[in-house]
Amino acid sequence: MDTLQNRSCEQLPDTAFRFRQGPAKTDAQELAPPITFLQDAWRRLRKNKAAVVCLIILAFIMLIALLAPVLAPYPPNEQHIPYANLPPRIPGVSIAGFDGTIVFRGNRVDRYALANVPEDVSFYFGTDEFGRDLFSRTLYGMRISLLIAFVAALLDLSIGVIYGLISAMKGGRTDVFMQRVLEILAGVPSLVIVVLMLLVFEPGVFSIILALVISSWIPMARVVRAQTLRVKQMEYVQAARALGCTDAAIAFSHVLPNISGVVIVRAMFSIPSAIFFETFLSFLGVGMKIPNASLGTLLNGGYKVFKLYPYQMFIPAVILCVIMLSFNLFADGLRDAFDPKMKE
Amino acid sequence: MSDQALVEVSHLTHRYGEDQKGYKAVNDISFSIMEGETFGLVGESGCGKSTTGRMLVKLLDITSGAVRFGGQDISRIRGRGELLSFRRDVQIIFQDPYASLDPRKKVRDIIAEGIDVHHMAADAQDRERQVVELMEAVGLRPAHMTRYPHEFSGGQRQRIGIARALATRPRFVVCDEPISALDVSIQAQVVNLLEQLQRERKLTYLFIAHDLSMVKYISDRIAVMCRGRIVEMGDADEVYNHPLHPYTQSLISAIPRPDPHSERERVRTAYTYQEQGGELALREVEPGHFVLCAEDGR
Repeated sequence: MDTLQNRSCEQLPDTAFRFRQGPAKTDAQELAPPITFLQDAWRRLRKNKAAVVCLIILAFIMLIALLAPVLAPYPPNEQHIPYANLPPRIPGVSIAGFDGTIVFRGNRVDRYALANVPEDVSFYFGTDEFGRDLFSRTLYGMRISLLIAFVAALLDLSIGVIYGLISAMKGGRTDVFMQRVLEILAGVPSLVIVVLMLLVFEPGVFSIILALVISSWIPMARVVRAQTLRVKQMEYVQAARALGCTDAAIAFSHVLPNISGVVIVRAMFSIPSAIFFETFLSFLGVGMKIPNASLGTLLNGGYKVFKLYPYQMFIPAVILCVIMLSFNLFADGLRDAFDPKMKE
Repeated sequence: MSDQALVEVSHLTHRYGEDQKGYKAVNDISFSIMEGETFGLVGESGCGKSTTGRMLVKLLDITSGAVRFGGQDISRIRGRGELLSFRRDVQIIFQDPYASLDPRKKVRDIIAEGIDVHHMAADAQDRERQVVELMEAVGLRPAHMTRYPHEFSGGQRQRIGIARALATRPRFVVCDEPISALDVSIQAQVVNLLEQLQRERKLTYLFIAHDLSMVKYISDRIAVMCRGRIVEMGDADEVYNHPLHPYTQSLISAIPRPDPHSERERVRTAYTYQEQGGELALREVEPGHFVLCAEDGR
């Protein structure tokens, strides 16, 4: 008996085979839209609770800082000496510290009543030694901090990225020269520069930004250079070169997209240090011009009377901490989202 | 195949490192590749095969010697126009299909890169049509052009790399170990695809590999490299069946045979490099069969 089962597969006649019947795959089924890099990063970022909370806090802070002229109940620089050094009072809140009372020689006294402030006038964060509303001043101070943050990020993304790209793409002697220039710039103490600039310019946002222009983008340039050198070795860059792409085309179409994650993260990390730089300069009195508010000048005013009126320093300090922490944690989350392998 | 040499390499040397102390990865090699032929280049890791390939496509500088492509010395190419026309004629396929595709670009844009650089498409529609044509030519589904490289398998990625190289309609393609990173079953597919494309598009290949049996299968002529020098060169069958240099003999003895009886008896001949006296040069021992040896035949 010669049944089909006894033969080896070479001996089977073609008629023994038939095509497997199955549902044909349609193109539409197979071709779900591909996930782009940014979608993928956003999906990972959403899983990071801390980063999402920080993002919301930052969005809220930016919103109220942008709306400062609308939200501020008083002009930030308006002085009203009779109302000096009033503690915070929020209508309807009776928690000690926010009800307009302070402890004076063992007794709790209502400062608002002593200063003859009308019942319907309240200062949410209190007032300073000249009777200026600290709530309004804090809002305007946050504006300055965020402006500095924006400028620092912009400088990083423009000067820093381009400097690093050119240095790494040109290579050779150009690279060596550009790196030495970078080291010289990094060696200049920026505090000294700012103090010296006071000889020429008025103190203010302009001189702070100028100080940032000199040095804030240096870490970014270094990171971009290192990453570019890494990507430059990749075979897809070699392939692009073999196809005839110019260095500039390679830098913008291959290198930049592939290092964008690192660049964005680096920019986010440089923001809090720039904010701190401004605060630090203003605190020392070489930053913002005197009547204008920034978190640094508020801290400076507050620390002198910290023992008597702790709220004057406490509130801006907490806000500064929240901003710095939010930027840092958000940047941390972004880093994990852009490059899961970079963790630890 | 014709008798016209498309690529002539004479006394080509590449030294890594700045000064005289640098390491000579490629040391004074000469060969020529005829129009339409496949020239195989084999040798162990680090023997200089890839360095040679990269010099031929101007990705690496030539330390000394000359490469002539279609009669023109490629180190004397001046100006963007001349360089572009050279780039268009000479392409390279890379070894690692995972590293050779930009992960941030869609397949369509990867393949169309050459078309864009050389302004070979009249408009967006023409560009799309050329990409579809190329994808079909290399056996990919054009519907996949909006995908990213990470969504493809190794063999498919290598096909994308081949399509990218073919986009500029080159005459000469350097295949830098295009199959060594692939699974054996996929290797055969890719090699057959390369052969088919060669017939259809009249390509000339420099096929670099470390697997002598695969090189013999695809090549018309073979050069065996060892320590930066070509030690034996000749027709593929001739070199494979009558190896003369001990290094080639050693390479051939290492090829496994799909036959259990002869496999059991196969003896791997070891090759140990030794400094030889006398003036070493490639000498023609039979018509078209060259061996690196001294005057007295050692």
